Amino acid sequence: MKRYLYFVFGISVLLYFVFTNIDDEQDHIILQATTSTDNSGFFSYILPLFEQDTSIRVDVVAVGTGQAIKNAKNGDGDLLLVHEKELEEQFVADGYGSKRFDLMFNDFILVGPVDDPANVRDADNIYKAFEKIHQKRAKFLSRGDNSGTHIKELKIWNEAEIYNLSIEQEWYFESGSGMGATLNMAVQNSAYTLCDRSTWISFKNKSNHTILLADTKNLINNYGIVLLNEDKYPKLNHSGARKLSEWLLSKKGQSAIEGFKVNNQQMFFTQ
Amino acid sequence: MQSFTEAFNLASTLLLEGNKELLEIVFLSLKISTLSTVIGCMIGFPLGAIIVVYRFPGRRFTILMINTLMGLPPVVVGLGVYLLLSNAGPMGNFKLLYTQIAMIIAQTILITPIVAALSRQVVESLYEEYEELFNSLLITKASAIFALLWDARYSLLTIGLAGFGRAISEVGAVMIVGGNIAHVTRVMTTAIASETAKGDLALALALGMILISITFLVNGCAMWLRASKYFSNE
Amino acid sequence: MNRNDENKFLTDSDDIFPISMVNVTLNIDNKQLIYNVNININNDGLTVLMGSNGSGKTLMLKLLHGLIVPSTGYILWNNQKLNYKIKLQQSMVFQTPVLLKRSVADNISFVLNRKMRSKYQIDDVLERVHLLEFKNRAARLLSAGEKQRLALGRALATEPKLLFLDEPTSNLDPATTKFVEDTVKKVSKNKTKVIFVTHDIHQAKRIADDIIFIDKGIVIEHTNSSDFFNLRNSVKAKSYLAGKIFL
Repeated sequence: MKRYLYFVFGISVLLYFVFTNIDDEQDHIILQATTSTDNSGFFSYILPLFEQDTSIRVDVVAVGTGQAIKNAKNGDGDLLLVHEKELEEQFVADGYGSKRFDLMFNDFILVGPVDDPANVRDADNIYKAFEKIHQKRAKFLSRGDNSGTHIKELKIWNEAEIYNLSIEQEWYFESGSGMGATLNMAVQNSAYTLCDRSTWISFKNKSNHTILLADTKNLINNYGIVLLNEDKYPKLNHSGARKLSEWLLSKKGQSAIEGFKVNNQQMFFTQ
Repeated sequence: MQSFTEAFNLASTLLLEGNKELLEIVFLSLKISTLSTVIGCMIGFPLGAIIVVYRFPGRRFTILMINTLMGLPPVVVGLGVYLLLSNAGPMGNFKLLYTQIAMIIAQTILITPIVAALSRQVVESLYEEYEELFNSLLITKASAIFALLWDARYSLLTIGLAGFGRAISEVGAVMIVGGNIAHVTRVMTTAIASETAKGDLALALALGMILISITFLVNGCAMWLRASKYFSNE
Repeated sequence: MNRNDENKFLTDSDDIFPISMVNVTLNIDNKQLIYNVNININNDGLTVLMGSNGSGKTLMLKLLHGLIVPSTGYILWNNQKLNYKIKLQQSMVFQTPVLLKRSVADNISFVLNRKMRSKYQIDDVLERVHLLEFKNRAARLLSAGEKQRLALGRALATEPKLLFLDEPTSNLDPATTKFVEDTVKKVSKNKTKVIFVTHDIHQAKRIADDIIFIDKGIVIEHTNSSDFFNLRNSVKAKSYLAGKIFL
């Protein structure tokens, strides 16, 4: 009995120290961002530069665009960095966000097996390429997770006037996962998939997959940064969030973005 | 097979050079899971024993509930804790989402039913042996619980390890409530998940190997402890 | 845990004897196991509860110890119902020793309070049952005889006024049996009442001051030992002593 009480006391002291240790008082913000930016190593490149200037720590939660917006609606992020302009503008219009800025851009690409069964290499644009995939019933793997890339893909199918994809079970599949997991599956199953360029460049399990079509005219991928509504979310760290967005949009921040390279390729471009 | 060799070499290199980022992740994994296990055991052990010793209305239902909760999918726990701690949720004011405390809460919820259910089984068989003696000696129920837990310590250690194993290896819950934030809430399992997502399968596998080595070491320590003098009076 | 804290408040006026069983019956699952028992047990000497297997002698012991309650009738302790104070003065040794998964010494200290838990006290108890050399050994590593000696030592450690033993020697070798018999005989002459359950006629002959003979849940006789063995009043006692089984 006595021994047990000593034990409990010891554990409690331990817990006390550990918990007080956990909650550091450094000024920090939570950034809800897309996996595509995080997976490329963008944040581990750019955030130390920001922290040097402001000593604000940025905690990046990397999820799909749809999930990031949902989390931000719940007030679980101080700043939003995603790549689906319409949803972002809707987010501001609905009163969750206060302002949206264009941050940077790159493009989506169509990746697939080198042997290219649907011969999309020769397509004039992405719509033609999707038509070819559809005609050939070539395997296509969709994200299916309401992410920015997924929404972009659905828009292309729509534009190409191919509907009712959900019943096309023998060639159209949904992974329901992030970009990386989807790429892993596409590589395994020799399927086509739409991918953002930064994830593809930094992806290491390319195997026999390659970029088959780039269509910079129709496949522009805009990243936006959205400040949250201060009246709606009074408890968030708005000053920290403003500092980060101002820094990223400043001359210094923008040239830092331009300077981010993986495998000697520039990942993001600014206006 | 080649990727296994590659992963093994990478794991050894990372460990031997004492890669700072890796050590940070490993240490955080151990810290979170150890604390969850300790808290889970401090709740689960007495709970398991109380269910055995006390007869109260709803006792059978409690047992049923605990046995059911043993199979809780981590993702569901993660989601539940997320909704609880989210700023839009009932405990949003504490600002615990995406912190290590949130991860400890999620893992504790995950392993407490396992610890409670398993310790109930162990304590029950011991109590069948002891019950008449305790009645004869007029041992109060509270004292009986302490005595039973103390005498079952050997089995309880194994149960604690099972809980720890579950905690350190789960990814679904800590991913959601911790957010896999670099240097803050990134643990081994979430790092494995995100490295897999980057297609860096070798690094992910290397991390997996390190995770297994750690579990191996922890179990080895427990075995050594079991054989030590303190436990030999079992 | 608190039994000895309470013990010090007891005085000699808190006498628990005589024990009277009044019209006691016991039913379990609609089966009558004990029939209308009316006996008185005094504080002197060693009482043996004798009967064949399944005769209900263990149930009688558990009724007396308060581990089970009678279905009808009641048991009076010096005209009082069983209460905590009375229970504190009882102690029991089971047929198969129930030992805690601890060291020999910890098995003793478990029943002693903090003041009594001094090294001297534990050594004293262990010395009495010849187990001092095994003091720090795990109780589970003892032999069957050593285990029962430890259980006996533990039962005596609290210095009970009433000691129950439920066929304590049925699994033991002759030497340990003799040790147990000698020990309980000694304590029965020294302020501790002993109630000893056995089916062994010779053992009863060796140790009993008086004998309660029970068959199929009915108390047949309650006489002093020499009368029981010499006069053989009842037919049933006669046939039991002749080794005829009637189950």
